[in-house]
Amino acid sequence: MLVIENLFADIGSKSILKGLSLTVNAGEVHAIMGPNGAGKSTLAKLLAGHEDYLVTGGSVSYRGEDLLAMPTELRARSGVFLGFQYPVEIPGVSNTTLLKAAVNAKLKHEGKPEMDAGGFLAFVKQKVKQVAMEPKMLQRGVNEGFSGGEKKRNEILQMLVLEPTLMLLDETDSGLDIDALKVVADGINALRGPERATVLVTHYQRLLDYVKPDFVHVLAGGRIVKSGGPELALELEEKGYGWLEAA
Amino acid sequence: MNFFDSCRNSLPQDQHAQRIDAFARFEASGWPTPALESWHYSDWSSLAEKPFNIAKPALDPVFAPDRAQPLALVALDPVQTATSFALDALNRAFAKQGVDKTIDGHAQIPFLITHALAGEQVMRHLRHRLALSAGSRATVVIWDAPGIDDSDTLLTAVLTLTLAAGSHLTLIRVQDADARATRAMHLKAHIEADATLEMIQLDFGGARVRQETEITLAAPGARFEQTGLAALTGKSRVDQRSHVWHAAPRCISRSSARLLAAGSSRAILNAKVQVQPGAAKTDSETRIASLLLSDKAEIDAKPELEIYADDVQCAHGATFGQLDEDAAFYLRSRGLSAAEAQSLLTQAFAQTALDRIPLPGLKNWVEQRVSTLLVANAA
Ligand SMILES: Nc1ncnc2c1ncn2[C@@H]1O[C@H](COP(=O)(O)OP(=O)(O)O)[C@@H](O)[C@H]1O
Ligand SMILES: [Mg+2]
Repeated sequence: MLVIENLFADIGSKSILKGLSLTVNAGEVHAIMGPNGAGKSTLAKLLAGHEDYLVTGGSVSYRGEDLLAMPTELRARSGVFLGFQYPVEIPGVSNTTLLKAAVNAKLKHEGKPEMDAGGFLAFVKQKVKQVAMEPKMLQRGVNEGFSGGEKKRNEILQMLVLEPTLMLLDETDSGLDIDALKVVADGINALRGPERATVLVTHYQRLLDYVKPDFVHVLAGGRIVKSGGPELALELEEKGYGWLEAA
Repeated sequence: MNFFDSCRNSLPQDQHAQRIDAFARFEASGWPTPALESWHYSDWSSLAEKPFNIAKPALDPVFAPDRAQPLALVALDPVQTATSFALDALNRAFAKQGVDKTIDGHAQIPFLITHALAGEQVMRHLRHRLALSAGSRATVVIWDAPGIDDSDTLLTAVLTLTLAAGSHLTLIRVQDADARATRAMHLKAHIEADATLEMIQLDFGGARVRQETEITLAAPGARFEQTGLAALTGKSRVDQRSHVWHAAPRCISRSSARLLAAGSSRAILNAKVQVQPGAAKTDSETRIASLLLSDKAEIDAKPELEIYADDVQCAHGATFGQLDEDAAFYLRSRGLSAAEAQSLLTQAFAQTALDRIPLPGLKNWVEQRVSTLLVANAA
């Protein structure tokens, strides 16, 4: 589904990704771990289409298409979803407005008719329940005044509503209490399936107890320096990253 | 034929001597230019080359958004106080009519004053007087309506307002003039003890627009609350000047303006608060936020504060920005096009002003107006 080959990317004059390769097949869950500043968020935002990053080498294909040639919104409509490490607050644009515009953009892209207001509301309400959010938060500005945990729940809500094909979750588990962590994990698991794939950027084994990864990778110095099975996460938790970077 | 020659002979017959005198004064001073201290940014001297005819009486267009009760125009009282308006003498020379109304009690339905004009190179001049008696309450909408044929028109209006003790006026000015129109309005308000003037100023159109507001908070507890939104496109140019005098202790003024400029439009706002000697415990805040939607547009926003009293609390500030790129990326990462993201974020910028509009129909209308204007701009 996602094939990243020898990717190099800069921000400003600084090179961040330095020959990163990663293949994610449909049905798989990959966890990416690694020290702060390694380039994990850079990778996630670059895949979502952020224009601050300049790709200087390599390629990314998504379902056989050149992902890097697609504008951000087209990636989203084609099923790429990024759960942001730091979701922005957008006062004046309500969560409902965003969800409705996002769903309709996707339906339109798929050549399907827009949802009617009633159907949309019922659909969203059910998802809101799933992430244990207060329904009245839908009327608030996007993430406006939300706590860290509420912002992450809101990311999961958007993901559940959009039903993406490729889920990229950047530290969605950071700073969550156990209840919120379960909500996030349940959300991811609810969408898990043979047609979909998930890439979890995380620092903690904790999330991986709830969402069992097929593969665990270590991203350090702008590359994947080690890959393994779920046991690698346990090993990292125990030993840290120092032993890998030295190698 | 230039402006002065074209209309010298069309001065109304009543109070003819005063009109001739006023016209001569206006001709001597001429159309305002940046040479005038308060006209830094606007030059109307080219109007001197343009003839205008007096508009023929016509039916006002219907104000659709909300139910409102039109205020009748009446013949002007011959005694008129001059104002600091640079077009005061012009207005005085031609104005024959205006609203002259004293509001008592609590008016349930908003009153409406319509400023409308139709026809090419026609002009109209109005002079209104509104008074609220002690303890009364009302909402007044002044609607500067678009014409039917996007013509070149000129309208000046002077409004004198007196708010007696404890009264409350919500004054909503909707300026939606045609793209080639010239509009100038001078508002002079005198606010007595514990009275409140809540003003909402919405500007969408006009080639050449000047809005002047002079507020005197004359007695303790007087209050002025202003919310402004200018959403400009094309070649529209709106120059606003507001001056608030805190002339008594314990008065409050709040001013919050949002300026949006797209196309090659230009928004100018000079908001000055002056705290006069003895106006202790003054509480004043002025905030201006500007958003440029095109690199050909321009915004000049300047809050000013002059304090000649002790023990006051005054704040002012102006922020200036482009759209938040992180927010735009976030919206696009959810599938919204760049144009949709821009439109939503711009609407969001305007929303704090829109939320203050107390008439639901008008609020809805303005929301639509802002969003269509932005869609047209994005295209
Ligand atoms: N806008 C930026 N300008 C310059 N450097 C940046 C910018 N954003 C991130 N970086 C740098 O890029 C590197 C990778 O950052 P990031 O991808 O956020 O790391 P991670 O998510 O793995 O902690 C860091 O050294 C960070 O300081
Ligand atoms: Mg990160």
